[in-house]
This record gives sequence, structure tokens and C-alpha cells, in this order.
Amino acid sequence: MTTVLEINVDEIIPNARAILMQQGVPEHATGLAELLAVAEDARDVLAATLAPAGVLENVETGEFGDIYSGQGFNAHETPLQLIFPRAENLSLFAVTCGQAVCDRIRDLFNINDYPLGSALDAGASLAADQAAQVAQDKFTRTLEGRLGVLRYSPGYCGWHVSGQKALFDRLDPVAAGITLSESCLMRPLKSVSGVIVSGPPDIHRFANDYPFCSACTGKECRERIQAMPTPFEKEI
Amino acid sequence: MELLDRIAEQLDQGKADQVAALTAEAIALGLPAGTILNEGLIAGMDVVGEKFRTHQVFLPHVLLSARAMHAGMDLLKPLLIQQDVPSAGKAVLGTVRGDQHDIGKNLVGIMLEGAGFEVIDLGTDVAPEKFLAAVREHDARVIGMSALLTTTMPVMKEVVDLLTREGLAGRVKTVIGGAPVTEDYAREIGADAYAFDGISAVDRIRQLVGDA
Repeated sequence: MTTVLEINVDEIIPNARAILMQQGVPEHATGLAELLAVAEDARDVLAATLAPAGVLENVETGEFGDIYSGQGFNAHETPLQLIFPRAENLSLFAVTCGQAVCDRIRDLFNINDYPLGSALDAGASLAADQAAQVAQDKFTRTLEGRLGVLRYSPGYCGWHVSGQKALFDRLDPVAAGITLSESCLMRPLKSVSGVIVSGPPDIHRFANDYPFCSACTGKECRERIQAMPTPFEKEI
Repeated sequence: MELLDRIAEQLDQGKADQVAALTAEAIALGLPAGTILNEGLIAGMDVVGEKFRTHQVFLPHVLLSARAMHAGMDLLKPLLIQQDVPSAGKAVLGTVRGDQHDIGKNLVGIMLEGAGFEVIDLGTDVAPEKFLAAVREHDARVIGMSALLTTTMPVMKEVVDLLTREGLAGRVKTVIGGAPVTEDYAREIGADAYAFDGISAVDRIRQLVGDA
């Protein structure tokens, strides 16, 4: 059954420092008063334009296997193909920041307000990711026992972005206002989808020596694995 | 301090109002528009670009400077046309068919304009034929293509192949970029260059225009 998520703006809006870091400013950089002021302005615009929404739906392992195969374009070997068969629970998810913030970003660039447009873009990306975290937290609250919970998305770690099609066929996140284009592009742009996987924490640990890892500039998998408590104990 | 140096300095500081005021002063003094552009605005952006390359400043700083550049350019543009000042070159930019991501492409456009290029921005979801038509219409020598999806990257090759079929390869240079795009991919599809970010795009395109 599809669960429509209620996501509050306050839960996902990033702080000014985080926005600057998303724009490539190092964490401990100094003399940033002017940039922080722009980032604060971006926060104000985010507060006025974010319209977060999302959906969550549990799936069985076998069914997810079909979804994960997608159109057959995944990398030959991927971490997720080893992870999900050992999972205890799987849930598809899709979340979005809404169209209004995307429109505002475009408008700001059109009037040459690049600093605010870029800060808003960075802030909306962080907000979308945080909305995915809200979905993950909600899923986690339904679990019992000592579990590691992480999420994975098409377009990353060898899961080809065309996998969005099968995922959207099953999840149908229109209730959250999210649609998919022919090229597997989510609209609104500031949206995140994928699968949340729970199970023994060790199932999520993998070496980043897959062929596609060398081309990956993000390396967020390392941080996420590291941030996962071991063993994870659900807070009750 | 000389007026043009002050324009460059204020631009480096990202002060849009001051850049506009100083540009207006330079125009009022009768300085040639090309001189104001090259020795004031572009000189200032070059300083910012170098600071970015050497990690003395970061993207948001560059964008403040780019906004200041535009404040000056708004005043200067009519004079550049009136005085028939040539641009550094013409570049057609677009996010390829099927892809709506445009922030990276926009940043490249901003940096190119800051370097004195005329930018024809075709927007997002641009078909190969539209790139070709724009090149012909504007007599542009560079196509810059952006893609953020692995599913849309192959459209870049379609554009490169189309230029070859139309006998424009070599004369029209291609630069590609975007999160999943790499130097190797550029080589693989026969693009002339890969650019990691807006500043490197300016460097690559300057080289390509120089080579053309």
C-alpha cells in the first residue's frame, strides 16, 4: 500500500553554511559574511517556495529484483544486487521539493541574479535529499530490531538511471506530484527516488572498487556507510 | 588608481552597483567601449577566474562577480554594437535533448560572457538539429553541450556525428560537460574538449577558438 508522506518545510530546509558547502565552499572557510547573507536570502526563498511531498511503498525482495533489473542496463556487478537479497525490508520511495522552487531558480538566473539562483539551487538539492531522509526515517520507525537502514537511487552505484521506469511503474508517485520523462528525468527536477533497504548493518558495507567508482565524484556512499551506527538499534 | 583598474577591482569584489557606476563614468569620459570591456570588465573577471583556479575564492564569489559584470555589460552592450566591437567569439550552448538540468550550462554561459564571448543559449532539451541550425544562423564556431543524465549523454555523440555528416567538424568545435561526463567520454565520441566547470570551459573554448 502506498503511503503518502507528510513532510514539513522545517524538517528539510538547510542552514546557510550547508548551502555554501553544497556550492563548494570548504567547511572552515572564513570571510564569508557576504556569501552567508546570500545563503540566508536563499533560505528565505526556500521557506516560501518549498512544497515537499513524497510516497513510500513496501515491496517484497523478489518483486524488487524485477524492478532493479529495469531495462537491463545496470552495471555487470553492483553493490545493491548483493545487498537487497539479504534485506529484511525494502521500501520504494519518491520525494520532491515541488515545482515552485524550481521555477524560482530559473527566474533568478533569467534576471542575472546568479548568486541567489545558485544558492537556491544548492539549497533545494539539499532539501530534496533531506526529504528522502524524512522518508527513510519514517520507514525506519516501522521496523523492530537491530537493523542498518540505507537508501539507494537509480543513477548511482551501477543502478542505471533507466531503472526509474520500473520503479515509477510500481510506485506511481503522481500522488506526490512527481512524473518521469522518456529520458527518465524526474519532474519537478528537485526530486529523489529509490529504495530504502533495512537489514543487518553489514549487508550495506561494500568496497568502492567497482569499475564505475573511479568515475564517481560524489563518494557519498563512504560517508553514509560510515554514518550508519553499528549495530543500529531502533529508537523506541 | 586608473578608472579601468577600479572597474576590474570592484568587479573582483563582486560590487555590482560600483561596477555599474564606474562603467557609466568611463562611458561618460568617452573611453572606447572595447577598452572598457577588455581592460575593465574582462580583466576583472580574469582575476576572479584565476583566484577560483587557485582556490582563493569559491563559486559563490565568482557568481557575485559575474552579476557585477552584467551590471556593467548592461550599460556597455548598446555601445559595443554601435562601435562594432567584435566579441571574443560565438558559442552556442544547450542542455541536450531529454535533459532539463540547466544550472551547469547556465554557469558556463555566465563565465563565457564574462570572458567576452557572445553566447547563444538554446536552453534545455535541445535536439541535435537545433544545435546545427543555431550554428549556421549565428555563424558560431563552438558548441557547448551539457548533460546530467547517463541516458541523455549519447545525444552529445549525435551532435558530433551530425556536424561530421554536414561537413562542419573541425570548423565548429564541440565542448561537453556535466556530472556523468568525462574526458574519456569526450574522446570516445569525438568531441573536441571536455570541461569540468565554467572556468575550465572558458579555458577550453579560448584554446579551441584560438586553434580554429
